Amino acid sequence: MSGTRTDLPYLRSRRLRRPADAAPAAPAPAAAPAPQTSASSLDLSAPSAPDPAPSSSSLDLSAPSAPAPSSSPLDLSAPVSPEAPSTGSSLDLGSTDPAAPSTPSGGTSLNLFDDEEPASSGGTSLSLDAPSGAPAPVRTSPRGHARLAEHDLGLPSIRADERRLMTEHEPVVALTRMQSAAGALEAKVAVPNPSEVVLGLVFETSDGRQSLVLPGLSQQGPDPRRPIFRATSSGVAVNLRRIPGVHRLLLFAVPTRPSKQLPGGTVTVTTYGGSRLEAPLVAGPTLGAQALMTAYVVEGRLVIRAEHDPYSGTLQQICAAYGYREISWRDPYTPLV
Amino acid sequence: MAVSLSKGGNISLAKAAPGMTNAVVGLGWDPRTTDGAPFDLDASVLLLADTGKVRSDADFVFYNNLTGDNGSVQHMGDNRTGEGEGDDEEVHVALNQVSADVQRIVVVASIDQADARGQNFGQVADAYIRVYDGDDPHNTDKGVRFDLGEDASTETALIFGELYRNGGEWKFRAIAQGFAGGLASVITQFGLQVG
Repeated sequence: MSGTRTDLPYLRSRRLRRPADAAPAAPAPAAAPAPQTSASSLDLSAPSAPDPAPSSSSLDLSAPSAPAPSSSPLDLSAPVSPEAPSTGSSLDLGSTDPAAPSTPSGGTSLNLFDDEEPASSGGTSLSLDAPSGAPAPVRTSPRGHARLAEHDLGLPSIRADERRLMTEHEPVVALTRMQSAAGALEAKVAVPNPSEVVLGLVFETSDGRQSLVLPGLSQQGPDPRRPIFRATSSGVAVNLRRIPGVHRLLLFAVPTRPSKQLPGGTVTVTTYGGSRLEAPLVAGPTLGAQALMTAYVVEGRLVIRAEHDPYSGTLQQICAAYGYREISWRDPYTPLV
Repeated sequence: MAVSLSKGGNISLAKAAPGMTNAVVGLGWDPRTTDGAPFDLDASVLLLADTGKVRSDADFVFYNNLTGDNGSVQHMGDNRTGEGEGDDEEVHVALNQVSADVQRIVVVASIDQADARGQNFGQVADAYIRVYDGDDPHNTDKGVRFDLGEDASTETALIFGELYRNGGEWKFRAIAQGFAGGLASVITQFGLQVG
């Protein structure tokens, strides 16, 4: 046990501000957090009871009833225990039309596939053999490379070209490794007047750097020469080819009107395969910024959650509330990037 | 000297590298100098059953899934630029520990964001794939190599070659098959979907 998560205290303080908001079926854990040894240790289950297990490097994203091998005060569960997702965690790629394969080009082609049909069905469901809630055994290959076993995240997945509304009751979607690694994850906002709101991302890289991208301030990060994150007036994007370098991110909205009023609309997040996640953008006054979605990279898979956060704040407050405290600020609305 | 194959050729690994159990598949390339965006080539591996398809998503070993088949196949990580000496990317295969139902191990290289950057393998020179003994890496008499030449033009992904079972032994085949649709177009051929 070598470290303590720094992104947890805000959750306690948020609960203190509105204790009545605690999910009835998912009581908030005790205030004293169990130390975590790894930033990748993430409990997305709805904890039935705080578990003061000292630590574990394993990950528990199991169903609510499963005991957590590592207690965490980080509660990313739905306000009420979600029903079992209809899609489960097993990705059925066979039920959707595959992307049209490109024709092997002629110049250099030795065509091995004349007798084969393009993949159109089956055989691609994610093998998630580890029992739900079980600690992740670490296997070591003959050449000494450690590897975590596959977990059943127990979270809803999404198919290519599927559209999913992320409700308060089912706010989480876990992408597959391929969905998490191909193309770009693009977030946009659909509102009557797009100039009234801009999107930004605050992020933490896998080596612990925190920063943000926001139109007009810092449009590419963390390294502008080889950016992972981009922000323009039309939305934000994450280069998923660089997903191994990402640990987590927060998508937020900043109203541009002097009144800091957010327009009502919808936030959409799309993947390379055409999947589209949607969450409402609730109209109303803000203190300068509104958190919309969070995403964590869990064993190479992006787990995205619509926050449905009833609170707004200054951008600095929002970042701090979600655990991004390693950012310096010129003023509560302007980070030093 | 290591055996040099031409396109379409194949050879028994027991003959090319007697006694080899830990094979290293090394890939190399040299992007030609351009004024545009830098090249980022990625190697990846597909483990295929006798159906010619992967058994599951886990059989696609790439930059976001560096191990496959319970660790018998290990991707050694990404070299972004292709600069420097030696192999640009490597995949280690413990031949004796590959599951019996894996019949082929297909090795692919693709260019990241090729369409957006207007890049293709026509702008890549000196591409090769080689297989050598990971336990005897400096023995130049063992192993097999395939230089892909300059045939590629508009392709953005290439199957360099494959290891495959044949009559109880592992063989290597030089392929150099190009795809214009990038990595996605390759993996869909083998039962995977991107989205």
